[in-house]
Formats: sequence, structure tokens, C-alpha cells
Amino acid sequence: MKLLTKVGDSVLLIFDPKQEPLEVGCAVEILAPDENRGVLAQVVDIGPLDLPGILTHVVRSVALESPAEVHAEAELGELQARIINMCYAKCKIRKEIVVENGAKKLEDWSGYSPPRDSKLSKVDEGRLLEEIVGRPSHPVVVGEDDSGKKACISAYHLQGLNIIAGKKGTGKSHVAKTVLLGLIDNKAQAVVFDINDEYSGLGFEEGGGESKYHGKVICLTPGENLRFELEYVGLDVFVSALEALKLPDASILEIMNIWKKLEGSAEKLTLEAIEEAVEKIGQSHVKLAIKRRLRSIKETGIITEDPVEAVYLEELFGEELKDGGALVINLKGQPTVSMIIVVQTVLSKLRELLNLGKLQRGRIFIFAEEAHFYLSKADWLDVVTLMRHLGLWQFYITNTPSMIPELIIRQADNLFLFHLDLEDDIARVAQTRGMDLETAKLTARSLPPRTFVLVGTATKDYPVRLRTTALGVKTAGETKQFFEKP
Amino acid sequence: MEERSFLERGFLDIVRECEDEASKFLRFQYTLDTAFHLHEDLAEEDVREELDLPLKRRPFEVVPLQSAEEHVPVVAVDASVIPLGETERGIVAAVRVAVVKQGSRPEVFGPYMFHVTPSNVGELYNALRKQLGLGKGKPPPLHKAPNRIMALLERIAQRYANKLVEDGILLWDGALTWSRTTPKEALVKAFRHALQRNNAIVAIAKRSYLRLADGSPIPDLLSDERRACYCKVPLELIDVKHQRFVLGEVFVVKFTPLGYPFRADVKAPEGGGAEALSKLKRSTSFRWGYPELLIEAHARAYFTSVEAVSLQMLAVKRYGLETVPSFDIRVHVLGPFGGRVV
Repeated sequence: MKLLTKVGDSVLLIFDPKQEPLEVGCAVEILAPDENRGVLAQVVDIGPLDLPGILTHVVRSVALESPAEVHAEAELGELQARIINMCYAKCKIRKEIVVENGAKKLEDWSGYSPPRDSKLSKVDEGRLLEEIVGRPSHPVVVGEDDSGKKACISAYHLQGLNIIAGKKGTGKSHVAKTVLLGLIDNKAQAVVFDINDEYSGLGFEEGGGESKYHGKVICLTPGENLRFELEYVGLDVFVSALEALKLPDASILEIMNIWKKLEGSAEKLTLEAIEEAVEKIGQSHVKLAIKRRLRSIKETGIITEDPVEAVYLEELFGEELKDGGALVINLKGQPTVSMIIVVQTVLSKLRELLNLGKLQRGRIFIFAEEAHFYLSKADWLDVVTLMRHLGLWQFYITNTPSMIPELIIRQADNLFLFHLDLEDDIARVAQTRGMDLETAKLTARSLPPRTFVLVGTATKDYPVRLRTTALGVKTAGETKQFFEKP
Repeated sequence: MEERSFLERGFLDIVRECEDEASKFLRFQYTLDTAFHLHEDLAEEDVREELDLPLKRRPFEVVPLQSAEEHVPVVAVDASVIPLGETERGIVAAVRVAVVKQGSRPEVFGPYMFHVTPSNVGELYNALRKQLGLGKGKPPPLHKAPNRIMALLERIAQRYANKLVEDGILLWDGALTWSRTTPKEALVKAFRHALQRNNAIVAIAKRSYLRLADGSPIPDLLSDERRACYCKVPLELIDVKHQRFVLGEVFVVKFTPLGYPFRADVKAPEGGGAEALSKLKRSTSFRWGYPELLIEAHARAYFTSVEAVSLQMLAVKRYGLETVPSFDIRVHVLGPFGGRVV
């Protein structure tokens, strides 16, 4: 491996893939021989070297496709293959290496340019992460390096806004589960909005027995074992649900008046009580419109009058999950109105409980899969900006990062980037800290499945390339398929 | 030794037997943007001189070239050599020969690498002459040895090619002109062998130094023609002092209406040079008027820059050489003033 050129923050390396295999995302240490100084660069693009004269060689081999009987020097073929297959690696300089008393230290890059006769060597990502992060006080395994060594970051650095983005089937939910379990190990609490029923198996081992997380992962399905009392839901969430059902503003105003009257009366606030009050509305078209929406909400089964079957988050977090754990809310197959009521109720309750000090601030993490399905842009921004102050940390997991509002992306503290193809998606994730458009473009498209780049506060803005790691628990949902083989 | 065995093993055996050791290697600096085919690009100057045969007056008769009715087997031969670098004792070079017979699997002999030094050049050169049935000869100067070795190896391949066909055509690259590179005896023997199998030899030169009395190259004779045609150059029109070098019938031929005209030297049984050209036209396809088979032989023989560098690596590895930095005095002295900069 040799250094060829440096332009700006990019260096071009020449390497023989047979002798020193490099992949996109790999870290390369470039150390000047005598200067006790160097840079840490990361491979963002790899390709066959454009050797002068290679065109003639390739054209000849294409033109003379019919095989010939060749009698030649035995070793020549191998040597020739080495030259033909010589590669370039375009790398971005990420850090500067300073050697003091024989110890290497990583610092922010000062613009130093390593000499051409520098010594180049591939750096093991796991070791690199250790060097960058140090020994975390609250270790959370996020994946493993090429050698299979587990890679840890500190839960401390996940206290913020985190994005996990990647194409379907690349492993982003797997990483979300890995992080979730790591947080639970550190006694954190979490709420998971599970849109594909992928988290319900975490309480079980792959073989079927109970995992160590059994009892720490509570699965709730709206309308089945997740029901709220109407008062618990609150007027704002109720109105949001009616808006989602496209109830006109005038009718919503009627409902708000009814709600307030009922709240001030001795009568219990129930759907039936609201329905009775609606019957008294004079304008029949308003009455009919409201009644139709109320029926839709009733049919979701989320609202209950029975306090025994109603769910209270403060109870779940305060008792069953008091030593850490996750509340998995299965949104698979739920109508939009259900999703809105559930998600918004949970979020507003969490906000309220955190404000009142009934839940421990900074201990709860939200994992939201494909949040654009159940959060409007305004609500989403609200969640991000307000909740951070209350210590409600968030993970957004999506295969469509272009749907994440720009403001949110720019505030993200960490990005777990899996393979992405679409220009819009790549441009959006490129706005996260530690990432740039060129790196995002070249990296996102070349990441193989189950491989990701982690960048942000957790890695001191160095994009570390890692692979997902096996968890030993059931990580897949239970989708029944008619066709069992491809 | 039978020609094919010699090409397959015999040559390398000789190379190994008379190999001289060296310790230092000065690679030749290639700009790596060209392919190497010493036949033309680094041909010896004496060959050029001998081909420079001014014609006394202009030949006039241009005859349309018809395809013969009979399809005959055709085999083409081409060779190439590339100097890889210098050692403190001599030159390391590689040679390759291609034999392409229509409808058969092409055969490629080489690249074979050899280290030629003042102490082994005679042995190497005369081993090749011996294979051709020639007597011992004075070895060439070292700087010309790679080309001479290639030329002799090519003659051996041509003999092998002759055995692959009967009543057919042997396509050679170049001219039927003897020189220091190719002794007359070698050519005469090749003609005899061809005759024994009733084969015609057609040697096609992409570049000819044969010029008309007014100085224009002879292929220009047909440059205005828009049909397949040929023009025979009567030997009596060539200067007497040069006549003795030319051993076949000399034609300027345009095989296809839109192709380029080429000089073609023909040695055919019973002097049927024109007939051999008709048969060739019938029996092979052409690209820009040049026989496709000869193109393929050339394509399989020449060295690409990638091969040149690979061979240099092999030389360093095989002979355990230490690479020393090259020093080109021309670059150092003239570089800033328009001299070649590698």
C-alpha cells in the first residue's frame, strides 16, 4: 500500500487487494517514517487503478476472447493479475496521529500532509473505536469489527437524537435491537414504536426459551392489551385523532366544547358520554360527521372505561420495568387513527410524567420505526425539541431518511448509516454531524448488507465501519408467508 | 528437435542452460501508454536500409484482384520482443511468437524471458541458428541481440506453421527480404519447405521503404484506387545493387476496395504470386484491407505495458535482482528544454 496523492482532505492510496484487502469504511493509518506524525484516513471509494496502457490490455483480452494454447513463463500470469487488479483507495483524512513517547494519540486534523514514503497500515475498527471512545463506563455493544470483535460505545453518548438509516433488509432494525438491549443492560428504559412487529421476540432466545430479557420487554398491542381511559388520552390527542379522521374544524370545536363541559361535570369522561352529548347537537350534518368519527375511534378498541384493563405508563415504568426494560408497542396492521392515538398518548403522557417528575428524567429512550407514518412534521419537531430538554432520548429508524425533517437530521447526535441508494436519502443523511456529502455518497452506496457506519458523538465524529452482531435472542417478527421458498 | 517442441520447451531449456547470473537490474522506463511490438517500433536500422530500394521507373499496370474460387487453409505468424532492462552484465528481454491457423485454436509461445550477456549471446544465437539448420554465425552485438533472437524464433515458428497446412497460404509479417537479421539461407530453406507442401508464402508489410524513383512510397501507387486490385513491381525496376535482397515477387495490393494498400511479397509455387493473392482474398477476412489472421497473430504477440511491467517484476523475482534507480541523462540535461521526460 502506497500513498500516491493528497488533495484537500482526500488522499489516494494504491494497493494490491490480494495482499492488503481494503473495503469502503476501513481505516488506514498513514505514518511519516521519521516525523512522529501522521494521519488517520478512511476509505470512501475503491476501484481498479486506471493504469496507463490498461485500455490496450483490456481491449486485447476482449477482442481475443477465443482461448489460445499458451506456453509461457509459469509465474507470469500471477504477476500480471496483480498489476491488472491493482486498486486505488480514495480516503478522507479524519484525524491526525501524534506520537509522543512511543504512544499514538488521535487529535483533530491540522491540515498536515503525510510524505509519500509514509508507512501505511490498515487499522482494526474495533481497536480504533477503543482508541477513540476509550473504556466506556456504560458500555453498549453496537456491532463487531471485521475480526469479529465486539465494538462498544458508551450509553452516555446515546443520550440525544440518534438516526438509524438504511435500505430495507440491510440490518438497521437489528442494530436498533442491539442498542436497545445494551441500554436495558445499563438499566435504561425504552418505548419502542414497532411498526413491523420485530421486537416482540426479544424476550425469547432463538431456540424458543426465555431470554434474559424476558420480563424486561413488555409487548403491547393497541386494542388488545393496550387500552387507555379517555381522560388519560387527553383532549389534545383526541383532537389530533379526529383531525386525522378529517373531521371539519367546526365539528372539532363542538367536540372541544363537549369535552370541556364533561370535564367540569361530575360525569365520567367516556366515549359514551361524548356520544350522548353529540346527540343533542342541532345541526344534523355536524352531528352525523362527529358520530361517524367517534365510531371509528371506538372500533379501534383503544379507549376503555374500565380502569382495570387500562394501561398507565407510570405504573409500567415504575413497577414492572423499574430495573430497566422496554415497552414495545406493536403498531403492525393498526389503522392510522390507532397509531396516532397510541403514539401521541404515549408521548404526551411521557412528557407530562417527566415534567411532574413521576418518571426519571434522562432514563427513557424512544425507538421509533418509520416515524413519518404516525408523526406529522410539526409533532415530530415538537417531540425532538421539547423532549430533549426533558431527557427523553430518541432513536429514529427508517428506510426513507428523506422523510426525516432537515431540522431533525441536523440536530442528530449519532448516525448509524446502512446501505442507501437514492440520492435524496443520501443527501439527507449527509447533513448529520461528522458526515459529509462525498463520504455519504460514496459510502452509503457501497456498504454491504449487515454493515454500517457509525458516526457522531459516540465516535468523536469518526465514521467507524462495523458489522451487525448476533444477539442470541429472537430478532425477527412472526410474519406468516404463504410461499416459503424463493 | 521438431519445431513445435523447440518453441514449447527447447528455447527455454537453452535459455536456462546458458543463463548468466546478475545482481543489479536497471528497469527500462516505459511510459506505459503504448504497446510494444519490436518488429516495427524498435526494428534494426540495417533492416530499414536494406528495404530502402529505390525503383528506377514507375510500374504502371494495375490489375483488378478477384477472389479465387478455391478456399485454401491460411496460417499467420507474428513475433514480438521487448527489452525489459539492463543488468550489470547484459540485457533482460522477453519474446513471444503467435501462430494462428484459420479455424483452429491459436497457439502462443511465450512470453519467454532471457538474460543475454556477452558471454552467452553466441550460445543462444547459434542454438537458434542450429535449430534452423544454419551454420554457426557471428553473434550480434548485445544491443541488437534481443531483436535477432526474436527474428530467428519467428523463423522457427514459420516453419512450424508451414507444417500445419498443405496447398495453403503462410501469412508472414514483413517482407521477403534477407538481411543481417534474417539470413538468406534461412529464407531459402523456408521457401523450399513451403514448396514441398505446395504452400505459398505471402509476407505483408504495413510499412515499406521501397520507393519509386520520384521518392513516393510504393503503396501510394494504389492509394487512388477504389477497387480491390494489385500492381506487380517488376524486379528489373529495382536498382541492381538492391535486387539481390528481394527474394519473392513484389506486389502492391489492395485486398478490399476501401482498405489500405500494402506491399505484399509472395513466394508461390510456380511463380503464381497473383494467384496466391486471389486465394488469400477468398480465404480470409480483412480489416482495413489487412488480413484478419495476421491482425490476430499480431494481437497475440505484442506486449502491452501491463505485460512489460509484469515481466520486469518476474525478472527481479527470478534472478533475485536488486532494482537500481534508472538515470536517463537526456532527461537530466534536456528535460527543462523540451527533452523527453518520463
